[in-house]
Amino acid sequence: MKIDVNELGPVQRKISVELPPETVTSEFSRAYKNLGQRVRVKGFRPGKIPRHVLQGIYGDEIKGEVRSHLVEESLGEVIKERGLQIVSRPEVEANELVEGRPFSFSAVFEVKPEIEAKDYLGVELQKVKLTISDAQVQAALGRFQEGHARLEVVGDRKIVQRGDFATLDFEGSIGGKPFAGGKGENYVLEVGGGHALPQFEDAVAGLELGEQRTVQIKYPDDYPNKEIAGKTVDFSLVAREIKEKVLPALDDDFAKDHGECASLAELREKIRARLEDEIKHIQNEGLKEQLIGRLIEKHPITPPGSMVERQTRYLMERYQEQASRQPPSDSSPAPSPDETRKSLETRAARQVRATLLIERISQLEKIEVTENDVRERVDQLVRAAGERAKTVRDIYSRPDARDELRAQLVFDRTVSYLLERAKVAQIDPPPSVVDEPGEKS
Amino acid sequence: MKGPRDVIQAPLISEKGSLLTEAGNQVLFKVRPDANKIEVKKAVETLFKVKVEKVRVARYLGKVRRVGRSMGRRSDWKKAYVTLREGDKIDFFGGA
Repeated sequence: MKIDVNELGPVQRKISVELPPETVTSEFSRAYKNLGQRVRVKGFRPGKIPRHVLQGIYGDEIKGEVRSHLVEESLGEVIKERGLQIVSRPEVEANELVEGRPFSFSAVFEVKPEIEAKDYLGVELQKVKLTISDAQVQAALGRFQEGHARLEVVGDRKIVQRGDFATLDFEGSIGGKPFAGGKGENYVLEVGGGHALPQFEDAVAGLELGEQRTVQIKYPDDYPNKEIAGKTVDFSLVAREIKEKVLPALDDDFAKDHGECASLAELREKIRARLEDEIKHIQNEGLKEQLIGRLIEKHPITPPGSMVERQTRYLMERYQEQASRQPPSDSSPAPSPDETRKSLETRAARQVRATLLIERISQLEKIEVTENDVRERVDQLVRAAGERAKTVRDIYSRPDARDELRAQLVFDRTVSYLLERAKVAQIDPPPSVVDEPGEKS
Repeated sequence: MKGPRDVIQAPLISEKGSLLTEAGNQVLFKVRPDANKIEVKKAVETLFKVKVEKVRVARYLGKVRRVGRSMGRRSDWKKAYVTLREGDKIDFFGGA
């Protein structure tokens, strides 16, 4: 077997192989022997079919089979022998395959680039100092309180005001005819909550309990319900009940009932701790991002096109999935597919670079993940999946998914390893960052 | 007169035929039941561009088959054993 490996580029390799005639011939006889045992031809007992008959009937198929078998086998051998790390499907170009003649082919594919990782310990990073102010704790507590608000009937008032929750009976008609969805009984509306048309809310405000009132409301032309868009609807309204949102008092009892804490002070502490956790998480993510950015700057690697392509496709899928789940917003028009693709491609290239680089570093630093770690992580995921636990378990019983998970674990572990050894400088926060610590990216 | 394509109806490819080809350079055909040896010889020679030494034929009478009450009969046919001149041969898969 004659083998030739050419470097076409930093990540492209071309392998040329020439196989001797003996190999070709023996492969052919093997294929025919195998075929003769399997097929039935009329006029012959099974397994007794002469080769020339088989050749006449199945010749082309056998040729294709022999070719792909030869290519796969010898290519696999070469790759193993030379320790090449292939990341793309090889593109094979083969000469004609004739029995008893040497067979030559060449394959072009991409390999992982060789990376000389350097200076990856003690990377200088900047960490933004973030603290939780009392005001933020108070705000979070307020949201918590709001979440536990109850609606209570208002006894001392007969007229609906803005901010009330009014229980309504209503019936709408267009030109005297009722329409679908135009009728409701005991419907609770937050007056001024912005859930109904402003005109409708205006009409409800000022309504007296038990009083029947008829109002005319003109729906805008772009109303989602086509049946009533642009039309004037007559509503007859009756208010049944007026309720008010009552916030629970912020005291130890509240803390006991809803926060599982002994006292309000403890609840406050708990909220603060949660916010701090969130901040820490954000900081950590930021540091990781910085670290990877620095490392990529230091190591100009050419990412293999096929890996970038694969990652881009993955990102595209995720993006589309996300886009389909949320309705398009009017404020920002969706970017064109081309633009999306381009920006995702840049991101993909960066991710591939990071993956390759981190992988190399993990090898240099001998950071490994054991089968046990993988199993533990799978268990974690299964537990987190709740109802879908079985599906998740099934997915991770497949070896390729496990490998991916393992790679992910190695990646995470390596990044933390590097973070521990990085030189982190504390800097003061720019004023804008402090405002919304609760918001997760 | 019957054309060569009328006389030769199909090649017969079988274990026995393969054996005979190897042993005595004979090939088998299914031919018209009313064709005689001379017609077979000429037909094979024109169709396959070979020289025929000898033809032997065998008549096969169709079997009686019964479907319910009605009786039927498979058609009769004739098998021809054609011996070719040494060195000539016929490849059923490549050409015809």
